[in-house]
Parts: sequence; C-alpha cells; structure tokens
Amino acid sequence: MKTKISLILLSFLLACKVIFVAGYDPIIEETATQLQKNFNLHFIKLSRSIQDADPSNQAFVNFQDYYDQMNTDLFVIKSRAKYLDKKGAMVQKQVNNIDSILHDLEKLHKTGFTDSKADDKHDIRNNINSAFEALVRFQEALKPKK
Amino acid sequence: MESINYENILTACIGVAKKEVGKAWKNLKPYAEHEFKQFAENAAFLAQLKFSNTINDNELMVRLNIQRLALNNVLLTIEGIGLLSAQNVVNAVLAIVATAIRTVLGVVLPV
Repeated sequence: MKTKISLILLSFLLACKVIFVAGYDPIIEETATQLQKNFNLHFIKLSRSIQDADPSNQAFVNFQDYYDQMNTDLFVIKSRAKYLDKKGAMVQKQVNNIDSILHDLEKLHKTGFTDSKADDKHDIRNNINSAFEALVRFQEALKPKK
Repeated sequence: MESINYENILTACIGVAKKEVGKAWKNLKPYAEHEFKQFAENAAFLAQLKFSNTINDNELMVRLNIQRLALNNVLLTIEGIGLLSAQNVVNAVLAIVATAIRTVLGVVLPV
C-alpha cells in the first residue's frame, strides 16, 4: 500500500512542472531589438536637427520614413503578443507600454520640436531605451534553457 | 522499503531556495539601482526644463507619461524575474522530492 502511494506520488511529481510566468517569443525579442536600434538611429538624427542652426530640419515630415517603419514593427510585435496565453500577460503589458511610448513620441514630434541647446531630450532617449531593455531582459530570462 | 530522510530533503530544498533567490537578487540589484537612479535624474531634468519655461505643460505631461510607462516596464521585469526565480525554486524542490522517493523505491524512471 505504502509503495503504491509512493509510486502515485512519484508519477505525479515527475509529471509536475510549475509555471507561474511565460511569454518568450523569438519574434518579440528580435522585433524589440530592431525597434530599439531604429529608435536610437532616429534619435541621433533628430537630436542633431534640434541642436543645429536650422529651425526647420526637425519637421515631422522629414522623419516620416522612420515612423512608417516604427508602426510596421509595432504592428508585428503587438500581433505576436496578442496570442500569448494569460501567463504571458506581463510581456503583453510591456509590449503595449512600448506601443504607447512610441506613439507618444510620434505625437510629440507632430506638435513640433523647436531648436534648443538647453533641452537635448535625453530623458526621452533614456526612458525609451529603459522600456526596451526591460522587455529584452525579461525575454532573455524567459527563454527556455538548453 | 527504505524510509525517506526528511532532514536531507529539507536541507537540500533550503539550499536550492537560497541559491536561486540569491542568484536572482544578485542579477537584479545593479539593474534596479541603475534604472531607479536614471529615472530620478530624468525627473529632475524635466522639472528644471519646466521651471525655466523651456517646455510647456503639454510637453511635460507627454514626457512624464513616457517616463511612467518605461518605469512600469522595468518594474514588470523585476517582478517577472522574481516570479521566475520562485518558479525555479518550486520545480527544484519537486525534483528533490521525486528523487528522494525514487531512491527509496529503488526504481529507475525517465525524468
């Protein structure tokens, strides 16, 4: 009897693997990395245009290509996150936050940036990189170990 | 049938928990400290820009919202890695107990 119980318990334990949190997706990781890279290139160009002597070269229309690519990548990453199960809710939230952040940047750029030596907007660069690094770091932690 | 040594199981389980939690905290501490320091510096920078009228209320609100969402992502990562560490502890404990029972029963089962 004791052996039987132990065997049942053993089978149960061997079949058991607890999962509290999930949500690794190589496409999410790759797209987030690409989005971050594109954002940093965009920011370098934008920053230069804000700190030079030309007051019009930072116009939104001059950066339309970046925003088109950004929206395409956001569409891809959000589509992937949508299909994660409920254990992937934290990753979904992070992707939605990145979507909101980048759309906030787009909105801000549309309202117009003026030339300014005092405001290099480094808080925007730091915060957006923090948001991406948090997602990528979490994806790396969630990645199944070989 | 050989009996189960609960003392050994407990010691092994505590060892695993300490190691996992310690590893997670060791990895998270410098990351959390760096991010929180940067958030504080960015908030001070924004306050200074507003104080000197370099930016208007609308721009301040949008930039603060970007900061709020970014901080939320950092906190989600810290919480998530903490949960992963708890998950590793639970699974390691289950494996220790399974091994102990298997040893006592003297059976060979694929894990």
